[in-house]
Amino acid sequence: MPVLKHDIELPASVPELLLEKHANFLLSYGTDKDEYMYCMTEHMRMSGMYWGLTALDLMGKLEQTNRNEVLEFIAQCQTESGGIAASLQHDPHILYTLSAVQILCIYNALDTIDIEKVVKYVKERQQPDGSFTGDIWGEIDMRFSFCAVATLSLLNRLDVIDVEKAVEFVMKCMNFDGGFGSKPGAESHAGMIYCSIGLLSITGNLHLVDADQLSWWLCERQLPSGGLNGRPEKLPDVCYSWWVLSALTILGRLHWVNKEQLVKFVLACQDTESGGFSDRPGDIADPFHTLFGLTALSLLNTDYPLKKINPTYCMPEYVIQRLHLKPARLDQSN
Amino acid sequence: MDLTSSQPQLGTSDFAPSEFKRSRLAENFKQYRSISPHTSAEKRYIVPALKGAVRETEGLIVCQFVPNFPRHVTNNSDEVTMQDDIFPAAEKILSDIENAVKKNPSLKSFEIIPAEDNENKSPVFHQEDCLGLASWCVQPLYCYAYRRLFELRQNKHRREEPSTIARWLLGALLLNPDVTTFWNMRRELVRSHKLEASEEFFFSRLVLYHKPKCFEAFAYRRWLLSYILNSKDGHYDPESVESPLCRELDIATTCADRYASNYHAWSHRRHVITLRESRGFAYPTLETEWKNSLTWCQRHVSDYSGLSYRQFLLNKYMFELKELPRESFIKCPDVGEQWKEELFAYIKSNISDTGDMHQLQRLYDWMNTEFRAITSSRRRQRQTTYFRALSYWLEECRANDSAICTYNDHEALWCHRRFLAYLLLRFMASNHSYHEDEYADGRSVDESAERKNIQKSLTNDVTVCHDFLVQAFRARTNKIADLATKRDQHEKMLVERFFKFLQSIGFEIRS
Repeated sequence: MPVLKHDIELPASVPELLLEKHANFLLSYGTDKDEYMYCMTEHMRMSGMYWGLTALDLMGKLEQTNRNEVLEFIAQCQTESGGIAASLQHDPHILYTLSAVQILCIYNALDTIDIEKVVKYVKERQQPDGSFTGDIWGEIDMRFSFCAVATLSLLNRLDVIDVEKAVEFVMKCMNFDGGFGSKPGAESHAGMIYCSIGLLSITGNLHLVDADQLSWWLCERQLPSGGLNGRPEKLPDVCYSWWVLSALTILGRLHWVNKEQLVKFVLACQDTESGGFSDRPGDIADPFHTLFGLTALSLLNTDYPLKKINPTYCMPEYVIQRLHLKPARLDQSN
Repeated sequence: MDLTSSQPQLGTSDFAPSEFKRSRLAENFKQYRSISPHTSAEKRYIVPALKGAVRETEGLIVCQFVPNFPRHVTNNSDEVTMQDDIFPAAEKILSDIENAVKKNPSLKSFEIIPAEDNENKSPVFHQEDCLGLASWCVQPLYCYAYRRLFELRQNKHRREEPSTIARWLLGALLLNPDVTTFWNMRRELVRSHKLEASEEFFFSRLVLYHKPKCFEAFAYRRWLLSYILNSKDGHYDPESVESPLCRELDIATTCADRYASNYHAWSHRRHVITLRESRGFAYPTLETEWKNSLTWCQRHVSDYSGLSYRQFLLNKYMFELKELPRESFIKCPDVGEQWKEELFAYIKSNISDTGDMHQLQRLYDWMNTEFRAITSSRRRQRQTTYFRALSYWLEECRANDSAICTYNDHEALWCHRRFLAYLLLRFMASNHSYHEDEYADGRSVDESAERKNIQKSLTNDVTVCHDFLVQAFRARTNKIADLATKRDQHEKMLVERFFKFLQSIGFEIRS
């Protein structure tokens, strides 16, 4: 098979899944980082914690994390507005509000924060056209729509927003290829598709999607290396193993991708020395790609000892069941 | 100009050659050098301060989960003094950067230049429209600005000159533009009139040169645009050639050039064009935008983001615009004729059947003679509008044909062709009842019988014309598909997928 301009060649030998190493990688992540690295990444700390903790939970290592410290930190990150910031003294944003709520659900500790204020903050983000801003400064994006709806549904408070309008906005972002972009008219993007399909799954509106057309586009993301990209002529990346697979799972068409090749690609992205996954083989591992490498393997129903992941919320399935949430999925299609 | 290879002259940078300044700088750098990252002395200095952040507890507690950065525990004056010592040259370097930005609003680029610490040279390079910063000072400078800003945020009662805050923000954002909170702090300063909104465009341009796919920087510029356009004292002339929107398109192009398939750059461009419409700007003109983006895509055949933007324009130009980008041409009947000629030429060059040829000729003659006899200028214009819309489709189609023929194996090009097929179907569907609408508005009640006849023949003709178009597109597609299938194994798969898509959207010739 020729190597495309926008693909990579897998290394000759692909390692087995190195669970123990990944757990250690996440548990010790940051301990050897200097001040510079700290300052460079603090602005997304809350999401970093969510990636790390979710991955650890999937591997059955949640008890090894310091629950109280995390909860205390999250409580301190909730601001007067109700929104939650990525770290102390940072501004609140809907991205980190969702991450914080996800962590609290995993720890079963929603009472750590003032829920009513979170609800108010999220509600205030909705615009007349149904879209959501990320914070008070007005930028609109499909990601923010998903964050808003996911956050409220985890808090069982979807009733405070105009769900119908929110769905209407998502549908305005649908393109001729069945995919979705970040705003109306924007290019289809696998990450935005996850957000759109996730939102439609939570609100029970999957019937609005052209599931065959979209799933077909999603499957075309698979490259000869087995990896998935997020848009035409882009390089494969482990994180798209999540965005693409979760959407396909929700649409009941996971079996349309070549599972064996994809697993091989994901395994090839492990760092055999430090542990963790990187975007592509040979790059530096990080918690973001580590989570999405593991969630992909979990979705693909491999025999690895990983807990089941919920494709809509990207949280362990047992947590979603504990919350009595039932995000919709389409039946498996041929 | 390549800053990395040119030695900046002291005279051209803000690093004044005066003996006083030089010696003072040398002092500063000496101090820094003694604690620079390359020496153990510096490590002795910084590491103790960091110990708090990198807490080592027994068991496996993740330090990044619970940051315990020094600024959260101490904010007394002692600490400030200590930090001054950590990087004494920081303020000087920051003000050099700031001066360079203020002095030259047309700065275009900002780059980190690999360089070791050199006590005689300023780390800030400024030549012509380029700004550079020596790599050795990136880490200490960023840490310095970052600490200062969070000390300030932690101590809400502390007062600091807005100009000083702005300088720290400038340094921090040039080196790490992903920190939303810092952009928000600048927004606050603009909103309280401590920073001049129009000047904010200059430095965020440099940020985007350095990080061409930085979402936050684009978002900031969008916020600035709407801030300026909404402000009460802000008066802009929508007719002016000096539109702030033209500058945004320039930047979007630079970013698209510097990073392939740059999602945010093309989203920004869409935003600007949408803003152009809603605010009634005359510039950039839609015709210029059409031409420039086509040229760009022809030079970047792998870039589906650019092609996706073309899809956005096509949708707009063919269906949505009230103001017609080729309005000026419409008043000139010859151009309308030309579009028609080109369309027929395209059809003609792609069909071979003799019977079809004859039918096509009949259609062409009818359109030229009978149709021209129609006296209603409004109806005439409708016809021209119809061919104008198709002229966009045709131009794009030809560009796609030729790109596929020239360049092997590009998924982007075949995906774009899917859109062209889809668009043709959509156009035909929306123009099917087009003439009925025209007659249904009942502006003149006489000649109803004649109108009915014309309507019928018009509808027939449009249908025939559409059939020919589909046939021509199909034939052309088959030709290039043959070529592609034979020359490349992978492209063969792209072609198969393309045909599968056509089938899925029901692209068939009506009988």
